[in-house]
Amino acid sequence: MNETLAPTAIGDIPEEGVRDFASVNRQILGNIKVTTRQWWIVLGILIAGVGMFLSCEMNQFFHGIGVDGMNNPTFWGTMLVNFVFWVGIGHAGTLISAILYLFRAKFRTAIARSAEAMTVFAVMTAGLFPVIHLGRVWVFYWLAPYPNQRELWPNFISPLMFDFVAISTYFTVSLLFWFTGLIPDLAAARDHVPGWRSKVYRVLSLGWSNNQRNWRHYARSYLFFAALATPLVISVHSVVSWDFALSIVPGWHSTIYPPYFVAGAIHSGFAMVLVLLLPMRHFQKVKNIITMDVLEKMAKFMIFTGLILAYSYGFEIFVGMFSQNTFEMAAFLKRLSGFAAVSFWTTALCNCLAPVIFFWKRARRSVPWLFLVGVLVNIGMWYERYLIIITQRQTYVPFSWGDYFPSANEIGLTVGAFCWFGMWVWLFMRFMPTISIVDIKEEIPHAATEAQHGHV
Amino acid sequence: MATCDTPGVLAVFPHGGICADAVRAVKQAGRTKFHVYSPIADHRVVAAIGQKVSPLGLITLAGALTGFLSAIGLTSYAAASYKIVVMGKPFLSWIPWVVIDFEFTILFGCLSNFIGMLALSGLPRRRTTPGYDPRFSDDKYGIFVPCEGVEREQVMSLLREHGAAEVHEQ
Repeated sequence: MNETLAPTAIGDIPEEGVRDFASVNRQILGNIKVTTRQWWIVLGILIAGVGMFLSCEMNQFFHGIGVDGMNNPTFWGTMLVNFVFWVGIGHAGTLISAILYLFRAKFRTAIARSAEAMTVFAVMTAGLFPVIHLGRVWVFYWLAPYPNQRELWPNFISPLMFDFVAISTYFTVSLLFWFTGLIPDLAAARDHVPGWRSKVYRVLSLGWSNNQRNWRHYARSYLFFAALATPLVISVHSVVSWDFALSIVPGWHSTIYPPYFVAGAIHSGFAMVLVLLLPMRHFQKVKNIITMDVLEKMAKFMIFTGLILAYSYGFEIFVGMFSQNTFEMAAFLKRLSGFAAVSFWTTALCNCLAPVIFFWKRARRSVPWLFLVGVLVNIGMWYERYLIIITQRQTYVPFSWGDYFPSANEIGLTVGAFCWFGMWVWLFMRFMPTISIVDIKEEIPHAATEAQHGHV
Repeated sequence: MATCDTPGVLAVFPHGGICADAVRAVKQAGRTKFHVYSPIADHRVVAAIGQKVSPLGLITLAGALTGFLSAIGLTSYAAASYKIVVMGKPFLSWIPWVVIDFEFTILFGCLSNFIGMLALSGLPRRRTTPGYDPRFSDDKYGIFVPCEGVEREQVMSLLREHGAAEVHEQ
């Protein structure tokens, strides 16, 4: 009855598993600590990469879009390759936090927060490319519908407007969903992290007080976010696919594109989550939370999405051939044995064949294999976008049979975008709770917490 | 520890089961105004308080419908203001606009959900609610009962009887 309830200090991370609420706080908030020299060096490299990105963009800004390798007939180039790639990467987070939440898939608990953060950062990266690609970036706001003296309005039947609306919605919803889940954890950080950062967390946590009024509306809000974000995840890459499918270009004009794009997006998103989580799991010492069982389930999910992609690649070739349309057939023959064959077979091997290794249980539970397949799938998915956007350019007449290779400026922008994404991930991993404290606590059985206090 | 000047009694509990029992006792004693704190949304505590379901669903629905109607209004107005008539076809293109209608529905629904959640929860606020203790975001549960004078002793003894590990006057 008169037991003393001392506050929990943020100290060393325990080696043993998660047993009670206090150890969850200790372990997860323990990672929000003073930055090390190595951390600053990596951050410096990433910021230098972002600087390179900005200098390439300024080069294009002052000299025009001609500094890129895009020319007749390739007008989209790596700009759109990167856009589609990064939007795809952004799919896993909301899938994990929304769809898997509604399906009560418990393995999501340990990885949802990091995956959601990755979603937000990936969409931030994706959104840069259509704007850069405009050339005249300063008139970007013309996309927005607003009353103006020219009495011009956007054409809302254009896939470009679909994209603008869909990506803006997806970014806003993902950000709000992520932030809503973070509020109770930011309150925990406010209460338990010392120094100036406590003041920052105080502002960010909005005065959250862990009282029943807070929890009552929070739980409901989270459920509605999940319900609304679920169709949104499916819609976003479907909308992106209509950039292609609503055209009459051979190889693009296909009804299979929306499900094919969504499956590819989830595949690449899961691969990126693996690539980021495996080092984080090691360096933040959270192997007892992000367990091998969690990683194994992710590997199984990747077998599923990889097989959908294998089916899609095969089926679109079959439909192209079955159509007996000369131009459709030519488009797919180029993929199989023509100049696009390198891109196609790289895509097929990385996306479809590499995850097959996960049928073998030892590979599913092996960190090196998981990491390797994650990297291969990311390479494969980037190449898939390259295959779709670059190699489909040759259409009906010899006029369009030009060649394309990205210029140094485009390569700089592509590499810089990875640094931009990496910089945000790096900052997130140091300053935010990378695993949802509340979700992990809810997974601990009541009996375990009561036994701690001798009440069972 | 105290973050507000509201006078009252704060009881701290080691886990949710005892806290839920104490909440029932406080309610049986005829008290209706009190704050219950917990590290998670503990269903035992929620059941003991007997709160109704949050009305957030209605706010979200209203936001989503507003978004849907706004999208129909915007697309129709834009098309009517700047007509692009191709081969005499109607310039109101309802089918492609389904994409815009859908995105606006989701966007406005989520925005109203977020703003509604903050408004109903009384957020943002500069200070935490009366009686808040940093241990409530860690592993402890708590009940803060606003009271003054002779009531304090009664409330303190009631909370002690129902398993409070610590009882403080504030």
